[in-house]
Amino acid sequence: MKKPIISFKNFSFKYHKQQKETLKNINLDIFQGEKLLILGASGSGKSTLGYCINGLIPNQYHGSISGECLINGKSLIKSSIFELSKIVGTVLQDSDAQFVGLSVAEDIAFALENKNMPRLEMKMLVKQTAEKVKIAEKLNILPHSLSGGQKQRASVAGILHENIDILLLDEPLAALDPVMGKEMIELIDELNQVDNKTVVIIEHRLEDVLHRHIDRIVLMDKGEIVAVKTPDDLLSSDLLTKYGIREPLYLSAIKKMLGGLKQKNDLTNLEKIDLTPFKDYKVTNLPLNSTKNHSEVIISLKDVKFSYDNNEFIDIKNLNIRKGERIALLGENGSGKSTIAKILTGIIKIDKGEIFRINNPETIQEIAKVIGYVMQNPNQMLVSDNIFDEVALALRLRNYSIEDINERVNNVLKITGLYSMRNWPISVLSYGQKKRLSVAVCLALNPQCLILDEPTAGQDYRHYREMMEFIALLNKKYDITTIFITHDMHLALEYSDRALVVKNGKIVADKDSESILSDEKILNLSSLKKTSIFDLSEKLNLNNSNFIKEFIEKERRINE
Amino acid sequence: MNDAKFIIRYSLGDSFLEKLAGKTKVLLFFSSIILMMASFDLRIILPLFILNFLFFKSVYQEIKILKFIIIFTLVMNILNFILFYLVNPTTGTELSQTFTLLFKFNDYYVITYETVIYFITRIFKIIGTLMISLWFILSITPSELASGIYGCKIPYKYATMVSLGLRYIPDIYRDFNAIKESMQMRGIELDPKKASLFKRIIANTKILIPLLLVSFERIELIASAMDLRGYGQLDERSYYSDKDLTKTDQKVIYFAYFQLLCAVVYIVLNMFNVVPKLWVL
Amino acid sequence: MKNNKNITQQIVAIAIGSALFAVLMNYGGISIYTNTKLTTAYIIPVIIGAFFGPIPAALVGFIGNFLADTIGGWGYWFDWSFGNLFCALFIGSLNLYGVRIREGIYNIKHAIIFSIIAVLGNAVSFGLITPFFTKIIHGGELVITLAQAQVAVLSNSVVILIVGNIVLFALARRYKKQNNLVEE
Ligand SMILES: Nc1ncnc2c1ncn2[C@@H]1O[C@H](COP(=O)(O)OP(=O)(O)OP(=O)(O)O)[C@@H](O)[C@H]1O
Ligand SMILES: Nc1ncnc2c1ncn2[C@@H]1O[C@H](COP(=O)(O)OP(=O)(O)OP(=O)(O)O)[C@@H](O)[C@H]1O
Ligand SMILES: [Mg+2]
Ligand SMILES: [Mg+2]
Repeated sequence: MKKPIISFKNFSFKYHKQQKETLKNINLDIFQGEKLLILGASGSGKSTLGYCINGLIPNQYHGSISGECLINGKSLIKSSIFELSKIVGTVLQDSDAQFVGLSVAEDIAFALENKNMPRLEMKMLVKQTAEKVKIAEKLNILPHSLSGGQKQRASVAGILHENIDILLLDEPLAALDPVMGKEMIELIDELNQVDNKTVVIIEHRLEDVLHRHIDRIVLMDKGEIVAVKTPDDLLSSDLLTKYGIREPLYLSAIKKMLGGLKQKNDLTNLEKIDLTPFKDYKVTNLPLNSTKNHSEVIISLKDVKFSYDNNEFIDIKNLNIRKGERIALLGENGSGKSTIAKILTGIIKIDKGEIFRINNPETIQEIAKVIGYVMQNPNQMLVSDNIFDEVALALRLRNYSIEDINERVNNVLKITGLYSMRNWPISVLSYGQKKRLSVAVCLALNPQCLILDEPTAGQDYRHYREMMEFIALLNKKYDITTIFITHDMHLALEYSDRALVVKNGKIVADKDSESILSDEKILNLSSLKKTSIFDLSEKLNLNNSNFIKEFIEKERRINE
Repeated sequence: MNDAKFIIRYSLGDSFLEKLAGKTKVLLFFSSIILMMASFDLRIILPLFILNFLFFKSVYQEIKILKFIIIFTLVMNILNFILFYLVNPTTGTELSQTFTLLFKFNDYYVITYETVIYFITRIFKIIGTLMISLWFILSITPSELASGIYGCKIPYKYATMVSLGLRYIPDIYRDFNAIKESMQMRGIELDPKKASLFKRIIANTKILIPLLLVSFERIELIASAMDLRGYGQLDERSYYSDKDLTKTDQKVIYFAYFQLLCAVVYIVLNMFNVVPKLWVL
Repeated sequence: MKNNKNITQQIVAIAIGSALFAVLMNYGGISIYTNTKLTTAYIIPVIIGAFFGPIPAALVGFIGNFLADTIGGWGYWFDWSFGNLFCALFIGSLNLYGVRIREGIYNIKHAIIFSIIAVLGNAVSFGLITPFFTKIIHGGELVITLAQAQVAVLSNSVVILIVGNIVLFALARRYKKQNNLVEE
């Protein structure tokens, strides 16, 4: 058949700093023009595998290699990173680091500059690619004033225009809103179909990736490849559940509620699934959740205004957050969610208006005793030598006893799945592990209100579930208010009672999560999407609300 | 949250200087500053000062820190002059080998005409240097600086060192703030309202080590990102921010070469003691 | 080919080091005299030197000073830039006498050598080189320049000796612990 463009044979890799191998006995052929998805738990070695394709291993990250890896017929060990850069275009997982140019335009142009392309030609190309990823109006913007999602788009633009055969995208969707995520997948598909580029995607958001055709899926676990299958084969097996990966929601519902799959093909799209066998399904009329009565206001904003530059931006007329509430903050990329979080925590000083916080804290330090905040970018939060110290830092500063500290730290590290690495330095962690650590830091403090900026971005299902369940437990037990920012609509449904939708710095909707997430108008307005559970329920003519509740309930029971 | 502490331009207006190409600005800057440094002759320094003062005025912006800097430099230099004078009241006379008495405090502390000229020359020279530096900074972006340095036939790797450094300064400053905020959220009080100055100084040094580590880890990542996009594969490189040289650019470049020539001639003449160490009328 | 990778990394290291130097110069310092500051900026060339060698360290001293002058708007004082260049070269020469921070090797013996070199390097750079350039560039008065130089030598030496050693020991300890990681 076709010849492989990338080929791993009995390949293993051990980072210099590690005692054990991070990649074990990898055997994988990737063919010209193929579109491949790499799935796997956080820390399973996906990015590491990516580094072996683009040459960062062994050029940048040192360690020992055994076995063989051929890129375009040439051994990895013998190829220089320059040769590889002509074949492989990479979007790194950490889009901050990716950004070397002074402005968006210059960053997109960076590879072209290095090729000594004449300026006129370069300017045209930059404009074209920027339009492709919808960032053209931000061309002269400096990198730091981009939102998380905008950054990710810009970094994808940086590799689109080149004549390279292989695109390697490490979690290109992690920070994108649902609509942009969909467009990104369509764009990637186009590159694959039209330009016949080989595409390797690393992603946790399986359902979103499956929006377009994927040739094969590689499933990794603890540094090994456990399966290489077509999407249908993988989806009809129980491997995903076994290795803690989120299945597409509609499949999960069919498997867990409706009595299992009846077909083995065409599973990647709800439209193509034959639903006739499930037509008789009846949802039990669940009793209305006895929603707790939240009365005590712990944070309130009045006529708050803030802008980064001279253009009006954040403008919140009135917002009350009560004790024990579970709030989801939704909205498209760049709508101002993270900015609002920073306003609530006092990191950003507002231009106008009033903020009330319970106990009237004044400084960031005092506010933090009331409101714990997990930033979107974990790199900016982590400051210590090793994982244990990172979590213990705040407890030590607050004069907890040693036993108390040990107990709390070990507890949150277990919940976030980092306990076995507690003595590791921060720098060797995978991106998802870093993010989890930043959550752990906050959880250990047990504040009255928790704000989590995209806590589940880049997380696998198992870890995300454990973390969110723990947070839900805190909410139940201690009446802790939780506010989280997310692009995962199902997460919002499952773990929040109230949702705020942000658009252009204003709160355009503030209702219970369920009615917001089924309101087409609001969703369309703010680049959000209904989950496939909704679609499934509608196709079966069921009561959406009850169907979803039952699904959530079922999943919870299975996980326990 | 804002970076008003630093003077870095990212986008430019359309005054005469700002519109020049990077290469022109760099050449003009270096030739001016070399000429200014080389000479100790009011006949050269004064016109040069006036020219560069005008340049500076054309790109001046209301930035608080600028005013402060100019005043600070003036005060510091005046202080320095007083010290100079107290140590040696006849510097000018020694340099020019002439003695014209203007005023006499006592036998040692005299004011001579030559010394007055010396101090006037010196102050114009120092303020002039400052003006040159300031208009240069106020009229160039980091990428223009890179393309300008490269345009002067210096290998682009050196240009990258300078411009990348300039580009990451705000990031480092932001990292510093982020780490500070992160520390504050963990329980270190750094708010001027609540913590004493001494405590804040101690706490600020605690931020230093994480800042260093975060920054040094960055090096690897940035280098990877650059390598992955083929940085350094060729000996030549083009710049997105570069501009074609206009007629005006050409003229300014000739002027810059002229200044360089003047500087070289002056230095050579000075070596053979043809020009006076200090010019006095 | 291996070499090429090092070059990009060195360029970035010099750039980031210079940026750090400039930020610390402007932000983390207390002015004590004209052109003289009690500042922690000098530990940057020390660390760059420990990781990448004396030449990159020297470039950090020079470019860092240039950037500091740029963003601070103080104007360019090349006499001090040259002093910094040499000073950074001296204090950044750690790997010439066996310091290997990445492997956690920095002991008392190294600390003593480092301290001696730091003081001598400072004395040469700011006591000889800078005054020399000041004299030819600005036609300055030698007595004053020397006085200024002495203050600079003294304050820099103190900071480098204390902060430098603390940071170097801390880094060495950190890196030592970072090897042979295993899940437990
Ligand atoms: N530079 C490094 N040195 C030592 N160990 C490392 C290094 N980078 C990663 N590791 C370790 O290797 C393992 C795999 O990391 P990798 O980044 O490949 O995970 P990943 O599958 O991409 O996870 P995520 O989904 O969280 O990004 C992790 O346990 C991590 O701690
Ligand atoms: N430091 C800053 N300076 C200037 N503008 C900024 C800054 N930070 C963010 N912005 C701008 O403010 C807007 C909102 O940014 P914010 O980070 O709050 O978005 P977000 O809703 O969190 O988006 P995302 O989902 O992509 O993270 C964006 O358009 C961004 O360009
Ligand atoms: Mg990864
Ligand atoms: Mg955000």
